[in-house]
Formats: sequence, structure tokens, C-alpha cells
Amino acid sequence: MAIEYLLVTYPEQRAVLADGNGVGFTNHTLMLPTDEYLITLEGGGYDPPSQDIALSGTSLVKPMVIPFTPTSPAGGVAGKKRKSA
Amino acid sequence: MLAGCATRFENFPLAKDQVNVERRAVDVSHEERPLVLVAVSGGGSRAAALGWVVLREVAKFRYATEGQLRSLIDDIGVVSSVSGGSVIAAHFALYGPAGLDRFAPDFLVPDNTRTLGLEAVDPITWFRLAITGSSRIDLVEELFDNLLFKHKTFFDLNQPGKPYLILNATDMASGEVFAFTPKRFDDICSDLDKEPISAGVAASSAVPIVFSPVAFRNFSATRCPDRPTPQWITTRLNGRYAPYLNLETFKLARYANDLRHGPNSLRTIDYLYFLDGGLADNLAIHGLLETISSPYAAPIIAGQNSGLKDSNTILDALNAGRIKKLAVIVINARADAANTISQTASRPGIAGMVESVITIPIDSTTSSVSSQMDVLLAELNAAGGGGAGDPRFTGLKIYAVQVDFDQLRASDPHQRELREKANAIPTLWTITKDNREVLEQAGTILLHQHPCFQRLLLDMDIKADFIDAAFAKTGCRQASD
Repeated sequence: MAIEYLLVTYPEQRAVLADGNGVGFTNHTLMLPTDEYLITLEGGGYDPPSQDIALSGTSLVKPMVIPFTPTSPAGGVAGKKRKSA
Repeated sequence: MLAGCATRFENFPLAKDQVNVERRAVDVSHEERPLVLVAVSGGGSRAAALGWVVLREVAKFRYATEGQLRSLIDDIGVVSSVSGGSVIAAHFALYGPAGLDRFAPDFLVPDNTRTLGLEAVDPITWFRLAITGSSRIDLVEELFDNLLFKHKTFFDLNQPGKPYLILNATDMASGEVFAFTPKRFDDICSDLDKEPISAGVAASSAVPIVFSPVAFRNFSATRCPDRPTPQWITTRLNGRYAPYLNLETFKLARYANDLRHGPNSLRTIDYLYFLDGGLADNLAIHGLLETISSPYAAPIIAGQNSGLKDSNTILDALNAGRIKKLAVIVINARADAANTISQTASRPGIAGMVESVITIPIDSTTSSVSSQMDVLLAELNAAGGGGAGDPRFTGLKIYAVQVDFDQLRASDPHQRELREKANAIPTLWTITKDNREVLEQAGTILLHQHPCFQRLLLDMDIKADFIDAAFAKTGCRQASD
């Protein structure tokens, strides 16, 4: 089981789901085994609805960055400052 | 005569719409506590005894937390085992640290081989085996039940506060590891709570040829038809990249799909025949790898305000920064008995070749799984040093402790003698008093002199006269230092 590094970004803290299971939180690099995952966030109001990723070839200093954005001001917190990777 | 009789199947179906309940959880709610994972190898009573020695030794070390002294043994969250190691692992999971004092008189002192031998030649036993469709492995199961488990079932093991036990057997048809866990039993639509603990231990230790396999039915087709396929299986089996990125997990998904009689299955599995778990991985490390992060991972308790749920895994807890110290203790009772092949000028006979055909592939497979764990722990250690993207796992410390007779120092006459004696202990269900004493000395020395065990004690501020701080820090370097 080789470990990869994934950084999912979103303007607020949300649970990151891989194949429907919580694996960590947005805006903090997390570790996952090398594999293909369907990435979603907990709750709704974000875009795209899901991202199918092939998680490989990452490192601690260069995680794979997967951005999500709020769908609308009503559905998220688009106005808040977004953390940088 | 006996082989021609009906086979006795050992498992029970789930009731309609029922699933196996998981009542245990790995407690990661206290950041100051280490999480300790343990694997116990195969090796008959030699493995059971070495596991017992190491667990008893771990129990002696205590640290101060929340105004109280807490033993390191109470931080063992997961125990994975095969074969002889499963005897002590299941005993520890069932009775806890308090039961360790009973293990020697109940199992290590009696002459179990003689008991099995007397049973095997008893005509009444023959008759009973014949009419019930049982076999010699059932005598071993009875022995475990009578001496240790007293008719208790996995319901008694699967209770809050108990460590997450993974008894591993080998599926004879596929060669896959089959762990006696609730989620795996869901795959075969079978009720784990009703399963006697002794059946799981016997399945984990059914040495091929010596014993017949333990037989199970797969109830998926008859009792759980039309179940939806879990998303993780669908993603792996239908994913474009999954078979290339992580073939192991792809195969895990395929095996789960086969067991569940899912769509496009590779094999139709209606019956399962289990042999010794050591055939697929004699160190039981596979179970630990799966429990850290896989769909079969142990659930966790992370406490309030952690943001984690019970469905999260140990890797998730690492990602959330809930675990700061992770210790993995692998107890390897492999005996490398001396042979004279290399000093003999004549070709080895059939007996020698049969032994090589059995042991070399097992050692090779075990070494491969062990390497996977080494790589994982090295990566987790490196992660503790921090990285880009504000990771919460920064500061993580990893303690990889392997107890192995090969680590007894040849330069030390006492340790060299112990190593030779330990390597000569046969793989039986009986162990002599002298050999128990060899294992008590060897197990204690091996644990004490391991740099990562010393480092764990050092970092937990546990005092011990054998700790060499410089040796521990050099031999167990942490990226987070």
C-alpha cells in the first residue's frame, strides 16, 4: 500500500469523501493509498458534484490539488477568503 | 472411510435484511496515548508462547496520563494473527490483559499433542467424526474450546472496549486471506456473532495435509440475493485506472464481489474451505494493512469535536491529527531450524524437497507483505516531518517494532545460544517447560533491545534501565524530530 497526498480545496472546512467515506478535511493535505477515487464533499452546494481522480505520483511537498467551489452565494460561502495550498 | 462422509459446515446464515454489527472501535480519542497495533505470526505453540511473552512484557510498562498510570497494553487497538498466533491473540482479545496469567497453565503447560493423539486413536472419536461429517481439525477446535474459549462465540469478542481482533485464514480455492471480521462475514451473508471462537482459531491454524480444511458455506446467493454492490467495489471494478494504480485493492474488490455473488464475478463461490492463514501471510501483517485503511478497516472512536465519525479509519484519524504516536509490534515466531543440506554431498530426497516446496513460497509471500508494511510505516514516518498544504499529521511518530529470533545477537554468547535453542523449537501444539523458558528470555530480550521499543518508552517518559537513549534515537529516527 503506497501512500499518496491529496489536498482538496474549498472556501470552508468540509469533510472530504472518497468513494462516499470520509477521509479527512478540506484545505489540509491528507494521505490516501494510491488508487482511483470518486471525490465528493460532505453536504451540498459545491461544484463540480464529484471528481474521479487517479491518485498517484504525488509527494509530501507536491500533493494533488483538487479544487471545489460553491455553486452560488446561497449554496456556499463564496465570499469568504479561500485558503491557499 | 471418514473422507467419504458428508462435510460438516461451520457457519450460520444471517437473518433476512440483517447485517453483522460492529460493536468495537479503536479508541483514538486521547492524543497523548499511543495507538499500538500487534501482529502475531504462525508457529504452533511456539508462536502462542512468544506472543504471550511479548504481550505480558508490554503490560509491565506504564505511563502517567490524566493523573493515573496506564499500561501500554491498554493501548493495543488491533491484534491480527495467523495459526498458532491466533490462539494467544483470541485469548487476549477475549479475556484482556487480566487473562494473560491464565494462558500458560491453560494452554502452554498441558501436553496438547498427547491429548490430540489420544483423541485421534479413540474408536469412539472415530465413530463420532464419521457420523457428524467431522475431521481431525475438529479435534483441534474442540481442544481450543475446552481449554481456552469455553463455548464462547464472536459475539463475546465483538464487544465495546475489546481490541479489534483479526483472525486470518487462507481461502484454499483462491489463495486469498479471509479474515474473521463482521464486514467479511457480511460478504458471505453469514452471522459472525454465532460463530464459536474456536472455529475461527481452528480455521486460522488448519495446517494443510496435517489437517483437513475448515468448511464454510457462502449464503450470498440463497440468503442475500439482490443486495446492492457497495460503491467501493463498483469504483474499483469499473474504474479506468484502478487495476493499474492499486492491483491489490482491485483484487480485494474482485474477491468481495465474488463472495457477494455480484455482477461479472470472476469465480462462483458457494463453499469456502479454509487452511492455515500462514499460507498467505505468516506474519498476519495483511490484516494490519487492511485495518489501517481499506473498506475492511477497523472503526474508530475519535471523541467529540474531532470532526471524525465512527465509520472513519485509522488513516483518517492520522489525517485529522488524532494519533501522534503509532506503534506496530510484529511478533515473528519463525524458527529457522538448522539443516545439513548445504553440508551434504548427495542430492536431497523427496522429504527435503517437499519441505522446501512448502516453506519457501510461504516465506517469500510473507516477506512481500512485510515489505509493504515497512514501506507504509516509512511513508507515515516521513509524513510526520510535515509537507505542503497544512497537513494535520505533522509531528506523527512511528514505532516499528519487530520481534524476530534473527535479531538475537550472534556476538553475544547468551543470545547466540538462545537463538539456536529458539530456532530448534518444533512447530507443535505442545511446548516443553525448557522451551517456554527459552522463549521467555528471548522474547523479553528482543523487545527490550529493539530501538523503536526503547524510543517509544523514551517518548512516553517511561523509565527502564535497559533504555539507551542515543541508540533509540539513532535506531528509530523520526522525521518529526
